[in-house]
Amino acid sequence: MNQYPQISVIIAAYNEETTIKSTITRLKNELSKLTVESEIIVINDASTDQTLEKMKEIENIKTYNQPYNKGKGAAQKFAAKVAKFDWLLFFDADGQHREEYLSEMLKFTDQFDLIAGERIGYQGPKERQLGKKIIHLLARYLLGKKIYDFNCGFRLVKKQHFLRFAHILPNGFSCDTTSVFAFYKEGLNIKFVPMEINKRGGGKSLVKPKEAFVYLMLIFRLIMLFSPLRIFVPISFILFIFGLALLIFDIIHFNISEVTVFALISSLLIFLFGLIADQLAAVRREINQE
Amino acid sequence: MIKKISIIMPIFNEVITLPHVLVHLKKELDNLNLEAYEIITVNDGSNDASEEILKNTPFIKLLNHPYNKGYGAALKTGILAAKFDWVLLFDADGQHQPEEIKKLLSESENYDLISGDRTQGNYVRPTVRKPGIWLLKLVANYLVNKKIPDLNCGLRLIKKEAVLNYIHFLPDGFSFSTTSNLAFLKDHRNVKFVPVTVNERDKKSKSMVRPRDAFNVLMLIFRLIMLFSPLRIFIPLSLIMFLFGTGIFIYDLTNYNVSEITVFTLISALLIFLFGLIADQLAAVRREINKK
Repeated sequence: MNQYPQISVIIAAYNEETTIKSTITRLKNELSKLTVESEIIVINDASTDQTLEKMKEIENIKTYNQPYNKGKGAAQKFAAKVAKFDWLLFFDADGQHREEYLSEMLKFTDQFDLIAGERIGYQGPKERQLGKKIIHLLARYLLGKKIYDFNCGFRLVKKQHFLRFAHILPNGFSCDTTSVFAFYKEGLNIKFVPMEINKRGGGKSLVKPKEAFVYLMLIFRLIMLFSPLRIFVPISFILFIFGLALLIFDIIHFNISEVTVFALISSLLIFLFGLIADQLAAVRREINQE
Repeated sequence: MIKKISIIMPIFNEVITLPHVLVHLKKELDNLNLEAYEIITVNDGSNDASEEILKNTPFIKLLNHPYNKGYGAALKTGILAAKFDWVLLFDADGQHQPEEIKKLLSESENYDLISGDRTQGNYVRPTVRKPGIWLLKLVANYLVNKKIPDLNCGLRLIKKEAVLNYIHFLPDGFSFSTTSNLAFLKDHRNVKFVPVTVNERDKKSKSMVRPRDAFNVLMLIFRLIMLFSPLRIFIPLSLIMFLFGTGIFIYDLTNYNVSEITVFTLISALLIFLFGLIADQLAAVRREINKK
């Protein structure tokens, strides 16, 4: 009997012609060394370079093509649906991950539902620094947890849970971050495995300037999906305090002003909005769970 | 009378009380004339020797959380693993007396949830928590239209099939007990409170309920109302606004001058009422998707 579970490896590739072949070969060697029973699913996300040709040179992998570029999250969700084993191993095609950490990660499969890499000393592109900082603060606020690396692409996930949340996961790069939030919120067990990474190989960083905006939207969506009250209650509270101060001022002058009434009523309305948003968030999370 | 039960005991750093509690519990269960029972202990990431003790106790089933996830989370893990139709929740801190179990069992006919009620006996609540609990009770009683004698007694007997309906939104922390009471009552299930006596908490071991929990419980109450009868929040608010607005309106009329405040208040009353209708719809959606 094998000590490790069977795993479906999922690699989403978009314009990774220089690294795709070596990455998959290294991973395959590691898998056979560990005698893990596995299948390798590679999704070509409509690459415009030679990625597809390079993929065809590799034996014993299942390849799928997206008709046009849909994003990493979309590719992962698609692959998860066709995967045949109970554990999914996500691995980036750009060669940044070191496959030798796999054995370490596999040790945790009996107790945890998501085992993700935590890249040591990884800073990420400069454009993302601020967004990252905010995400980290947000995580501490929403989840009450300190998490150092949300979006390492090297992760082992129990398929059953990944599919449960697939409908709320975005199609783009923020899929990884969102799934960490979703797993925590559902009380599943998450393990982070610290790991070194290689310098990025050929492929250029996928960050575009407009991603600052995407990151910002991601933050709002995460809050709205997981704890909308954490936005609405503080805003409502600030307005309430403001209105109260005005009210005291007004009473001293024997004249209740419109502004005071407006502030107090808005505070109430915002709180009620929050309760409704909270309901909607729950509906979204619950709707696809069996 | 129930013949088979699963006992669920969450454990977080209970090394002092645990050995005695387990032995005492088993002895009582053996005397109870049950056809079968199982004791499921959920070690919630303890960092003392609790796990060692559990591993060396032959008559229990041990489940482990890899890190501390909370009292409610541990109970949920246990409930999901239970094999019998009734689950009995029992704390590991030595507060509960196994002799009280048979009182709960004897009341089980026709009920879905039988909770201990500590208020009749010797139970002394920590003074710091009194105002919070009082307020909570007031709100809770208004919501369910019923007097709840003891909101958060951990000793309770629950029909598993019933509690599985709510497992998604029952909280991971200490508010599990309160929430499950309110959820059962609001969903018109049959709830019974049975007076029980408890052992005094060891003076040294302090209560693990943090002040933050009070805020969380308050928010939780709002969530529960939103789930079961949102109009109970929205209609009174809307009505107050409306009466207030009408009052100023009459005053305005006598002065031949309708003020902005009047208009604003009356419009808010309407808006809040309409919000309430939306919330009521959403609540129905949630209840429908959570039904099996």
